[in-house]
Amino acid sequence: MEFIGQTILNGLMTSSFYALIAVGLTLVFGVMHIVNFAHGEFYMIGAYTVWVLYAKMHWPFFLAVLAALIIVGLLGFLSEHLIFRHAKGNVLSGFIMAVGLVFVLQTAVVKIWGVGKMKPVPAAYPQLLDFGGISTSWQRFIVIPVTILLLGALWFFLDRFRLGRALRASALNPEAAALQGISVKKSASTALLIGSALAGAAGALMAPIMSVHPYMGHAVIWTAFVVIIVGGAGNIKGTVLASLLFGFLTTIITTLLDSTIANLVNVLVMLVVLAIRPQGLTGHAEH
Amino acid sequence: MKKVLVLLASIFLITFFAAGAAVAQETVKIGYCAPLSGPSAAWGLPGLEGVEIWLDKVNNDGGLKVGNKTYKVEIVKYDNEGIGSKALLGSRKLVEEDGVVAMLMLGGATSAAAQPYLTKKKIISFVLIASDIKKDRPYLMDVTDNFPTYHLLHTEYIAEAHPEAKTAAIICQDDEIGTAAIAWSEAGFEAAGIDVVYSKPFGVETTDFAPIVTAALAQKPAIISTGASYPEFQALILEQAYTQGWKGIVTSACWDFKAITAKVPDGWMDGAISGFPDFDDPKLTPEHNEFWKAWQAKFPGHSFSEIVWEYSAALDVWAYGAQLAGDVKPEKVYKALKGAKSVPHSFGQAQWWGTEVFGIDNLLVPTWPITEIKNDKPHIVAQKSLLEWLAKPGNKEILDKYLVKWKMK
Amino acid sequence: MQNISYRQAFFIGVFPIIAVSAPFTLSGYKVDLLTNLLINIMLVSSFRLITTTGGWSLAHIPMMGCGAYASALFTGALGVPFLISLPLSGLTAGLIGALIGYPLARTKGFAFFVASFAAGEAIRLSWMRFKVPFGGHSGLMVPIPDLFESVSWLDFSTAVPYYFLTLLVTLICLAVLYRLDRSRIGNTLKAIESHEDLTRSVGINRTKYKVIAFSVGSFFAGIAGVVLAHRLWAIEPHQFGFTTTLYLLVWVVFGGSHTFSGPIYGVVSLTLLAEVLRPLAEWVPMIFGAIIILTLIFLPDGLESLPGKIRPYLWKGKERREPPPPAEETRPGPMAAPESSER
Repeated sequence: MEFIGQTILNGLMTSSFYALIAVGLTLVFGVMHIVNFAHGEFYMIGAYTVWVLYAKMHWPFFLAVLAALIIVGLLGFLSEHLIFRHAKGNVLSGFIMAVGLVFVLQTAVVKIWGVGKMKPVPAAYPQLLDFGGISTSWQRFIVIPVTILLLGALWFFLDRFRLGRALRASALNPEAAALQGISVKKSASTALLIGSALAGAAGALMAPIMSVHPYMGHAVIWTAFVVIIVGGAGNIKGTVLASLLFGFLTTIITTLLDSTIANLVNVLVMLVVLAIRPQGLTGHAEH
Repeated sequence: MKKVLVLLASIFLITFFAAGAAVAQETVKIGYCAPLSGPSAAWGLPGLEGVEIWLDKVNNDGGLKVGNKTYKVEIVKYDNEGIGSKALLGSRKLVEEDGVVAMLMLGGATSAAAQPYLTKKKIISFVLIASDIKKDRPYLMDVTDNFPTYHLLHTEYIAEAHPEAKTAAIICQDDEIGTAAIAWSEAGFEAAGIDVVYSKPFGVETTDFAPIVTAALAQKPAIISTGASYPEFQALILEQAYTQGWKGIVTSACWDFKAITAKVPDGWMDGAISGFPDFDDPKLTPEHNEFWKAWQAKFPGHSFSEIVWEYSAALDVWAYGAQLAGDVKPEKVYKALKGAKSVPHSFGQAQWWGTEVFGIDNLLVPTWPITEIKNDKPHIVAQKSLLEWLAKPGNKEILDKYLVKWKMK
Repeated sequence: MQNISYRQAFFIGVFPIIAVSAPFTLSGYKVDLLTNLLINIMLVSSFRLITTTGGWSLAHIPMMGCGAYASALFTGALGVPFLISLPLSGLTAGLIGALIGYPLARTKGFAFFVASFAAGEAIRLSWMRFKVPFGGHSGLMVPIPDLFESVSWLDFSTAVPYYFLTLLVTLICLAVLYRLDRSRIGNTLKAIESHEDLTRSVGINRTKYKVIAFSVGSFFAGIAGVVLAHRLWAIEPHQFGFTTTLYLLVWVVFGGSHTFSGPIYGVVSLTLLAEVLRPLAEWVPMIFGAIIILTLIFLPDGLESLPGKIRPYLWKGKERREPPPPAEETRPGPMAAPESSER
């Protein structure tokens, strides 16, 4: 019983983590039709921000996470202005530009903080959390409420704020949106700002839990892709559902078998979905 | 007048040549092809610190005297990132472009990829992993670390010191190093009368250890061995053990202690069993303490581990062999080393051993210290000998059984 | 007979002289770099074949790996001689290419992109997971080619003889690929990407030709993999991972993929640049990243389009007003904004 309970808890935490990363990626794709392959590097920079501010400069943890959110968000905004804008909606161009950005960001981090041993970030909340036999640390657990908070805030923004509604309009039909006077360019910058900020937040929260090193983005980016493809690229609800699916699938398979098989299963699921229903579980048909 | 001139000229010429000979000191290069980044960086990067101290000592003394020449020793490093194909490329570069006469390597899959090439070129490779030793790699030797053989000794000590601990979980990654740790640990635990309740290897790309530790803890182990998981992984595994509420005896071979204590509370690691003392341990020799002082002076605040001194200890053995042979040529050094009945090892005089298990006796085996953590620092609590362990009735058969099980024999 | 252009003169005259004499003047390590360059040239040219049908396959490097693993198993476990294993392993890669190419051909644009990654990654994960027969994480050992063993000075475990072997294989592969490109099949393949509706209305089986392109491209990638494996004497899954694919994409985008030689310009120039920048080796990925971003912004069709852009400025005087003669056949490639929506 404990084993099942512990596994469910592990699954929820993994799902939250996936959701936080994947939603940012899907938002960007929905609005800009660009797959930001450097999304993993934004996640990495979020983690490094926490390492520098919290582990080395001893800022309070949540302040460091907030700073990561802002810094990475700005980085995303800059990337849109300087780089992705020139892709003009061409998916392949955007992808290759993102590849270039990956190289640039990884090398920059390596040069500034070195590569070598991973950066240890002490747990901010190492106290144990016990639900009748099932135990974890507060540090791991807070991923769940923070993710719910951030995604809730995003939903609220997209639903109630003009800028948010403009984003959704640009995603659905850029031409009609432009006719309505919505600046598609502004929507693009906003989308990349928000999407990157979410990735930065994910990295910040994960820093005390996972290994912090310049190539840590690589491990998460493809899982994020699998999640958004299956959920329907551009579709936030679908992405959240897919995050739950894959969070639990990966956790269960890793516990019972091993993580390589879990990756293999994830990839095969994506292949099958692409072959049979390319728009994902809940997505609209590709226009 | 002429005589004076001739005398002056001779003195001048002699001085000139003498100075020239001193200045034209030859350089001998040794390659350092190890993981300097990535999850196993803690097994490669700190070694450079010890090597620097060794180089300082030797080169400042005027160089290494071999035969009737004096050499300045130079280390050429190459980061293989823990990847086999990179290790091979690095080896090629070090041998062909830099002309190294010996290689310092970590071992495992990375050295395996480079071995066919290095064997062909007859370059001695000093590794830290004994299970790399194979008959078709005569030039590969382990002259410092006794991984994975000392797992037998750790487990025997645990049974003696903690007879109430009857179950053990072994958590290691699925590669050559991890499998070796599991095989030898399982053998040791069985010989010591301890039940191994979990020994499944995990994938090397694992980033989240929660599910794995959950599965291991479900079997209720009294002992957790992280064997030779990569240091980063060990820290994350032990963190999970702590947060999932476990308390018991930890044992491991090559951890990064600071990385672990950053993740678990103070004192949680007390009682952990390993085999590597800090070099300021009063039970070690003055040479050890000198090394410790020099290291602390040059690298204050750094984390000490066996890696810091093991690569430079290999240099000690190499230098011993070169001086014995009177030559730095790899084949001559090799012959001299293998011909010696006993070779000075960091922990005392050591024998060549390994034919029954590895096919060739290229492992230097001394008496090995056992350490226990007290107040977050390791202390020597016992000395054990591999040869004595093997001589005990039934032990050899148990070892064989597990080597076959994990396909190491 | 046409007048031979300067470019053709270079290839017929100067290039062979350099290619043949260079290995004797360079160190063994540098000869290996040349061998690697030739292998990469085979890679980009075979990749380009697939792009002519509109698909940018992220499975290309795993296909190279299929050839490498196949040869490791044929020559290692099964004792097949190298000369037979080479084409056989290529065929294996080609067959696997055909198998995954069929479901992939039914996807387009971004979906194809991601699906090809998934297929390649699934193959790679299988190598990692299954120690038998793929050796798992540590990979496999690869024997030295057993060619001309009786001839003592032809030792294929050394750099120079192996370079010439690679040169021969590369030239043959390039010749075949070039002929294919210029042939009727080649034109059909290109039409599939650039004239979607036309090909459909003429009744050309688009799926069949996409699979052919994918399969043939994979065959040559496999050959490249075999040549690589028998030089390194060891292969492991990480070599065929995504980082290698990223470099492949950078080479092809930088060089351009409209012409046959575009990708070759890309890989040669970037490889030379990386060698020149060896003292700054740590900065190289960032420099490549910056180069590729700037290329996409300012020269989206890659290096190969450069002569076409410079030519107007070389004309003097009033002739400047006249449009320059058309360069190679151009077709809107993947870098152009899609007219028929390829999203």
